[in-house]
Amino acid sequence: MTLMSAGHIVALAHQTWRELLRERLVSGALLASVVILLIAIPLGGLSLGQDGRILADLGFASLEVTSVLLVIVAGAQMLPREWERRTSFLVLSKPVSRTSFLLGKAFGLLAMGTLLVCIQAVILLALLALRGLEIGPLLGQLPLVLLQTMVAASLAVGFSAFASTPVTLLATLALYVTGHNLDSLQGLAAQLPWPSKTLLSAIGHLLPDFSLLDLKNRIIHGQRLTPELALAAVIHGVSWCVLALSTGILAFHRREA
Amino acid sequence: MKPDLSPGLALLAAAFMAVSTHVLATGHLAEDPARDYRPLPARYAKLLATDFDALWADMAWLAFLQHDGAVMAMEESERRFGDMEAGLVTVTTLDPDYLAAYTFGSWALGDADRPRAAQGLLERGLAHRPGDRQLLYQLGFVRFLLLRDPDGAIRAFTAAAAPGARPQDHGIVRNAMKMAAGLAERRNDPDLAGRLWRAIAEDARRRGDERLAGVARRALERLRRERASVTAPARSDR
Amino acid sequence: MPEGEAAIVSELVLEASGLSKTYAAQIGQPARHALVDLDLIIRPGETFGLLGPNGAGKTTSQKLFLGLARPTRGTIRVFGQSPENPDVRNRIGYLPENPYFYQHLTGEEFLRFCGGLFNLPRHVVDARTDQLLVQVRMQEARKAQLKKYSKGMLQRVGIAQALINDPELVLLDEPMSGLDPVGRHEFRELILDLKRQGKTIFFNSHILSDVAEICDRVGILVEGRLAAEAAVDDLKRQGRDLETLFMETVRAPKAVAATA
Repeated sequence: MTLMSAGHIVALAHQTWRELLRERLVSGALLASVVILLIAIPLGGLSLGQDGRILADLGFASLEVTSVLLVIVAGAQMLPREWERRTSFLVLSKPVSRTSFLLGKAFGLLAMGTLLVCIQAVILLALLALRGLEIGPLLGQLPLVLLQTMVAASLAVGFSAFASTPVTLLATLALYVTGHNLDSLQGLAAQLPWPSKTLLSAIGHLLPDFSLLDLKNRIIHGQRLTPELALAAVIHGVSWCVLALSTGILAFHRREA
Repeated sequence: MKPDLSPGLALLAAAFMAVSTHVLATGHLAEDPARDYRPLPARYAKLLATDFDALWADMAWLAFLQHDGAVMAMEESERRFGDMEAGLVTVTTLDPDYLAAYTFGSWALGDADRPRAAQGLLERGLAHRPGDRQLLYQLGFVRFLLLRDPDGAIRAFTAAAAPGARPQDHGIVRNAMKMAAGLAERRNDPDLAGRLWRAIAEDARRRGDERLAGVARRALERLRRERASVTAPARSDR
Repeated sequence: MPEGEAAIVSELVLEASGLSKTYAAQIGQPARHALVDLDLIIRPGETFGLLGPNGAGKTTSQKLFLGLARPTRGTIRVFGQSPENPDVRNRIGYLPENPYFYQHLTGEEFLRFCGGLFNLPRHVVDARTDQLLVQVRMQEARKAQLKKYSKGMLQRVGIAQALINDPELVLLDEPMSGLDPVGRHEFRELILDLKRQGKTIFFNSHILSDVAEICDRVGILVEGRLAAEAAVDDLKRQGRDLETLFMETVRAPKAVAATA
């Protein structure tokens, strides 16, 4: 029995990519990002010599938020819409395994997220270079944003394999926000009595650590992406992608038309 | 059939209320910058920042600058500064490396006649960035000009001029040394003043800065003359 | 299994035995028995029409044949294998009811995409796409996005995608619904053409005249049970028409004996 086929995954990823492009979701996200950058320029002028910093901070924040939100919104709708519109019947009536179907959709979304990160990064870095900022040290944040986007996309697709669009949206956004606040969660756990303390602390360790995939607060002060940090981030990010997609695949195999 | 005008009237009334409350708010309620400026307490800001700390620090900084600018644009007698410290603490909690918030913030607190708060802000920065020359240099000015503490200022300027500076800090080191030397001279500490002016002269000669070398030479000459005038009567006593 | 029996089994295109599907109860809705103890055999080259009122279980049976849903009880073999095995579906073409395809694709892109899902070589997909677009008279609209297609055009491109892999078994779910008389006539001709090519065709419908004209054998589903099964030629020989059989079966399903 064929579990997975590279040909099917590529065909489905290509179809998903084309669907996202033609739905203007990506151009909408890009437009939002450019508007934010255009706001950052006059805002920087009010900052008493901090214009480069404000452009970088706002630019990296909008790069991350637009990319992550795009993949969460698109990913949350992806599989529920396939069921609702019965396009999944069409694909799954062909010799396509459910694993290939889910991975094809996920990879199409990941490719779109990557494109969005790259286009925004080029615009942002060009603007920063024009402002005379040294962009070399800032580059380390880009692969990390890409990893965050991939983890968010995988979580959204994974949840959408068994949950409705609103539930997927809420769950993925909650994981993204909590994953950026694990320090606060551990701080809160430390103040609680046993066994809540141990339970909350354990939960904190079982969630995706988005802060590990984030340098934007320190990069403006010259912190670089060290090989150790990069390795830890890649292992953590890829593990979560695999975990989310595997869960999605298992759930998707149980789903019936 | 007579058209039902009630939805249209309701819409007009609602639009009038919305616009008039906005006009009233901007015309009257917003006249007092101190009341308008209510920075989010640092601990909540940090909790809500969700790893966008640097961005929220920027936003808190811009809000602080807007508030400070609005206050400074008012007649001196009408100025109400509000809780500026809280705003600066929020900025520097979100980004403890926000240098402009410490340096400009300490001047702004000085303008608000809160020199102790200015000193506290810089010491808070130094706790996070020990030995930061820019912060020490600024602390020297705050102690000298706002707190009238020349000895404290000398200590801060001397620390700012400590050996081992990176090339980008050489300007601060030179200025801090001049400030420390000048203050030491005024405080009748000729040993320290002499040591500092000699170092300044040597550095100026090395860099070919004739003007500064001349200033340092004249200062050393002045010190020598003062020392001579102090020691001469003692010799005649013998 | 004796050798002769194995040979007969391997000849069968589709075999359902005691096939039942019950959808579990949900809040405010009791459990629903969509299909109850369906026994059915489809032989190669046969055209089988499954009739029944709305909600009788026709679409559910096709979903079970394709592995899109799992039976609660019973077994299904398609070409001797479980339909959950994706490889089996290489030999099947399927047109869903009210097809809602990827609207952003053009007709041509859609057929190429479907061809890609059969892992066919690119040149084969291209050649089949061109041929099928001509066959279903969609060559002029090939570059238009599916969202601009009429219902009839969608149905035609739908049958084209069902044939992209040159399947041995074609499953059609209500292929005539929503078509105008001209569209229905064209579609009927297309199915008859497939029949002449020796394809095995299984289709659901509630349009009796089409079924009578196209099918070799019919089954009538009522409330999830196969209440009657008959060969169209036998009915003609007996001087009975399909409409009478259908109405008798639907009105009193238990009273009508299955006639094969």
